[in-house]
Amino acid sequence: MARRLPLYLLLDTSGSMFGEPIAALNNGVSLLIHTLSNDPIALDSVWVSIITFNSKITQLQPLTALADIPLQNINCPRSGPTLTGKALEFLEKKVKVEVRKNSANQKGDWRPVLVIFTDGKASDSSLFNKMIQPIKDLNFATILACGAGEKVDFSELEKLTTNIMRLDTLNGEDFMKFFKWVSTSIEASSKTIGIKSNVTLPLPPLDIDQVM
Amino acid sequence: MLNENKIDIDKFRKYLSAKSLEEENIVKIYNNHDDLHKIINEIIKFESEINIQKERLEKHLESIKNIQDFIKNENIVFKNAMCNEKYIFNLDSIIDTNKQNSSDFSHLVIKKIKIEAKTIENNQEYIFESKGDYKIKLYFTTNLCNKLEFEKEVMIKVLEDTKNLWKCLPSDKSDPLFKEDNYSTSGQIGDKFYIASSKRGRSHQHEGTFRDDHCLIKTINNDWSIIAVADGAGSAKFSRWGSKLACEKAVEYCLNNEDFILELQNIEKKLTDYSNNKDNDTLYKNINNDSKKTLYRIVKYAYDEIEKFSKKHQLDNPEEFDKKDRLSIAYFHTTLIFTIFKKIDNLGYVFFNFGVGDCPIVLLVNGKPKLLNALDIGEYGGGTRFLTMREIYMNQEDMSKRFTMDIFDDFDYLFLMTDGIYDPKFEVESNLVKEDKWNEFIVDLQGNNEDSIKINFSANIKEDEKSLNNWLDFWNKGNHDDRTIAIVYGAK
Repeated sequence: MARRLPLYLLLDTSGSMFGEPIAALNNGVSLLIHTLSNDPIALDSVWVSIITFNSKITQLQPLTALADIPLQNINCPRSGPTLTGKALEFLEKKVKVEVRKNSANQKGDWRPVLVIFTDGKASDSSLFNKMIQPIKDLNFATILACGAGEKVDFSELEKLTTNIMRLDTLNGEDFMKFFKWVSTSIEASSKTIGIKSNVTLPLPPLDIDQVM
Repeated sequence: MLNENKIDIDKFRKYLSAKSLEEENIVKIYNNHDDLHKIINEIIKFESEINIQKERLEKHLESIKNIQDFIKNENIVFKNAMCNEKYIFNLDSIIDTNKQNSSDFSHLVIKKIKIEAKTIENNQEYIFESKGDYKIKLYFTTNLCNKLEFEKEVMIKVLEDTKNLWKCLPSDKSDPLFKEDNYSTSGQIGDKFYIASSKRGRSHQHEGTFRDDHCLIKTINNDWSIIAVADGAGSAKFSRWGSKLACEKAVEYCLNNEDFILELQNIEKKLTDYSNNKDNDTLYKNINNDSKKTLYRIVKYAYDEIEKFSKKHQLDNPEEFDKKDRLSIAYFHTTLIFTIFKKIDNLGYVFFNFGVGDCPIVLLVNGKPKLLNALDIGEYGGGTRFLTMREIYMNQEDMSKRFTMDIFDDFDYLFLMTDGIYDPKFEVESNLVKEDKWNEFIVDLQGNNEDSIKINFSANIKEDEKSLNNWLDFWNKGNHDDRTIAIVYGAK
């Protein structure tokens, strides 16, 4: 079995996402999967896991080969908190189980990539803060974050990564830009697999603020 | 299922008619109590049979209702299809749902499928001719009652075959650090032959980027030969040049450095002494130590030369070196393995080996593999070490372990290769020491492969060189790295 490039999508599906935003998120994820599926290098190496968080944490898609990711719909409840901290805790467990390390008898995966999207701030901020170091210890090749809307606490995302994209609204077009950036970044990662140092990311689209 | 306990309608009618018996018959029956009792008993028995049948029927109806609900409400997701490949619509193609293990699910049968304007019946195979998302109408029935039909609309994703997505773009010939995409060589070393090939991988073809691997074989001095193989780091901008310089500079040092030539002569003298006194462990250790010191100078020279080049290249092209905290040599990261060997009379083949990174040097002796160098393998994929990393020179003990010495009477094959070959062919590094894996590999090279490309390992090295170069194009999902292999063998 060839080496895998694990991609974790950690998606906010809290109550505030209900309606147009969740539809936009769905389109964005579809675009991402679609774009990557047309790149032979990504198609042969990228594995995707989709984790959603609201008042509950759900692994919508366990780590699966890109070619096997089916068409599916991400839903969200009408209301409810944003348990970002709990989502990170869940993510840590999943990465530890799902991402293979090199050993004498198995071929290790490439360092995983994390994409985190939120439209608010963590309702469980103390757990969120507690999880920062364990997440960093997972040694992701890249962490890409996107905050959309006015309620986002960017100082939270900054604790995780410097690659942050700020979207003012939750409309479909901006989402597309984010997911295009993600797919370009993943493609860049998959093209330069075999790397020790961090992946050099393409710059985000010009008309979107990148918080540095 | 219902048929198994079919109600005997005729028998039932007979008993019903017994209820409106003619008077004379009643008298007849009355006169024969035994008969009457018999009939009454049978009616009672029959009634209980009816009840059992009724319960059974109710259960069936409930199951059918469940199936109907399942089909109506459950999100049925089919596995993705591949363009131009046979797709089979059956229950196994449905991605696990929570209800999949329930008995309702096991009663499901796909009866008919409508895809675009086509209807497929009886045969559940289909070949999608183009990629995209397809809307499909499925008609289910159940083995509980095959007259029933349930309709369901599902979406299915059809993907393009990966093979068709690969492009082959040329690398830029005008680039000052241009390197040939494809290299191959062959020749004779003493009583052995060698063939070697190095080819740009599909992932580089797709991008129009350069081959990062490199390979060089030379007879250096007094019948000693060197085989060097290097794998440039995918992440480093000029690693193609790093691997080229690593091989070339190592060979150059062996060819031209007078100290080295003298030291190698001294080592050979000691080897001749040792051949007359093979119990002399002290001498063996002494030779081993000498060789480590001598070989270290090759490695250090290669490092220094790459560093020198990288600094000059940075001065000339500052815009290319865009990472502030990165040393110029890090843009040239490469692994390197080499072996310097010769057949010494009364002793056999002597190998002095060096390795940094994850490329193996393997000797097959009577079919048994011997890994001559230790591989650097990180925790994650790609976590290897490079010749161009300053830190590998810092720890003398670690560095010393990178140099090994081996003596064998004879051997079948000597292999040096990059991970572009052993990742697909051996999967994991631990298989590089397994005899059966090597048997498979040799048989593969000898023609047992998808493309039926045959390497004869004969004295006709030109033909074998060409075959090896073609063999390197083998298809293996997910493994599209540059491929480099050097083989030394005795012709049959």
